[in-house]
Amino acid sequence: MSAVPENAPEHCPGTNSEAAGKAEACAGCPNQSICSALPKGPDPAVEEIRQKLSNVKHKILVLSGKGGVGKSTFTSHLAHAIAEDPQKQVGVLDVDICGPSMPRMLGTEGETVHQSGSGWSPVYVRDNLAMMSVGFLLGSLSDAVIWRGAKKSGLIKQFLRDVDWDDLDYLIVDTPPGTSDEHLSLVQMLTGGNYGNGSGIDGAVIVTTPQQVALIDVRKEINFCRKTDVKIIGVAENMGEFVCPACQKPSTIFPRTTGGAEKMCEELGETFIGGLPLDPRIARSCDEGKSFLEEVPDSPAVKAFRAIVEKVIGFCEKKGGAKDNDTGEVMMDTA
Amino acid sequence: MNHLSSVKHVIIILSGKGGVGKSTMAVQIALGLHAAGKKIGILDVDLCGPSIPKMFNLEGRDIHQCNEGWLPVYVDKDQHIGVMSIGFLLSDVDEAVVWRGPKKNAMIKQFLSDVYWQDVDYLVIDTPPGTSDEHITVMESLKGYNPDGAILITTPQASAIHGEKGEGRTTPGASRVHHLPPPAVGGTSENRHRNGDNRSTTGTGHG
Repeated sequence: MSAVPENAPEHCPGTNSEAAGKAEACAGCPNQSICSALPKGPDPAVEEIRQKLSNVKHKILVLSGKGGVGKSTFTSHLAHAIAEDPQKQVGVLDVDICGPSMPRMLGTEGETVHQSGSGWSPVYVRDNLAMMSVGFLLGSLSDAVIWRGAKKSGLIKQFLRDVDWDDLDYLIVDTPPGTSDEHLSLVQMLTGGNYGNGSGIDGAVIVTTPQQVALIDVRKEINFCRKTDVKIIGVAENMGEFVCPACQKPSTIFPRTTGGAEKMCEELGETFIGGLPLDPRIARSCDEGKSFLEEVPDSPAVKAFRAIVEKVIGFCEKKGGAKDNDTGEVMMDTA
Repeated sequence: MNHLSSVKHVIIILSGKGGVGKSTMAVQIALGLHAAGKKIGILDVDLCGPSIPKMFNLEGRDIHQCNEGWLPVYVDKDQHIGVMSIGFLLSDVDEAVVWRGPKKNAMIKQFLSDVYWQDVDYLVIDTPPGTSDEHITVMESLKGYNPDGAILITTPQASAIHGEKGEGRTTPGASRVHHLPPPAVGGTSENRHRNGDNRSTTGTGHG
């Protein structure tokens, strides 16, 4: 993807070019007046963000084309799992502007954000786990954020540029479903729109549920990552088996009519990093703002989740450890 | 937008939260109304994740044009259930629609103005989760057409209901808001039973 939109006239100079809106090819283009009016060149915020986040060792996006598959649940518990090591500093950024779930899931609903000389102070869940969400900026829990895309992108830019995370080992970003303004802005702000740069985002974990209707949307998300050169750490399949607490009989609530996420990964050449069962106690923990890793350590979901977390950390540490700082080249052990 | 004038009733399916069953419910409501002898149109304005074509087994179908505009893709031979979705415009089913708001708004406006629904009794509009461009554009565009109302879908857990409270604010143009109890439809009633505890949600969870 470049600054030349797909449906641009032939010889479009690119929306970020100095000649944007003024070149011969621009005549008749519906975007001409916008291109000629807007400031040229890369957004200065990109460099500010790069500097602000230069002390963040690893950045992970949690994505899904589909809603309600467990992205926020996954994000919050990935953060909890990593933060179990007191030596690790973890940050969670919630860019789901319309439906911010992270404050409830991390037990920080009702908290407010303070400003200091060095920026916005994130809200601390525990000593080594901080978070930021639009949820903290709302007057009341019922307030709706009814914003068009441009305004949402503006807030995301502010989150990335102004939050004073200090040093972090991991910044995990929870996203809304889809492939729209939030996702584009996030990736562009973190990579400078220079897809393939590779230094902005370690990778993305894609969460899905087993059924075909979810996988259709997830395939689109995988497509989005490929278009924007975001490496895919792997796909996690949530809400697989349900085991009845009374009779212990397993059931499949969301049938894998097309083989589920594992088959999809095989087909698309992506890594399947694991499956999680559907345990109602997980939803309860999330509603109560607690970590299910601590609340129900006997759940089969905990063991499955920890295995997934290890793979995610393994991916990031391998990538980060071999990085050549001068050339930006990354040497990866091929599995 | 003359084509909307011939539509007798407009119902919008909403939810702040994703994955609660909006598309599933939109399809079942449409089928239920059809079984009651009505002519139905379904407009899928979830541009990033269009599920309606799959649910009606219409994947791969093309949109045809007539003198009056775009013809919906019909589910049945009698043409009593017509569907419009961006899913029909994608050359590859895996293709991601990576659009910012303005482009999404233009597409939705085109769907609302150019689709020749003819004399459908009910137009059911399926929306993506959230309270953003798609929802604002639909509500603004429907203002002159007095939509009947919105149905808010939720699942019982608090994080979904929290999303509902915000969604209520997006329907200033709708005269009534109906809250559907999840047990009415198979999939979500299973969710409620399998929650296992006696959380006494009626399932609507919204006062």
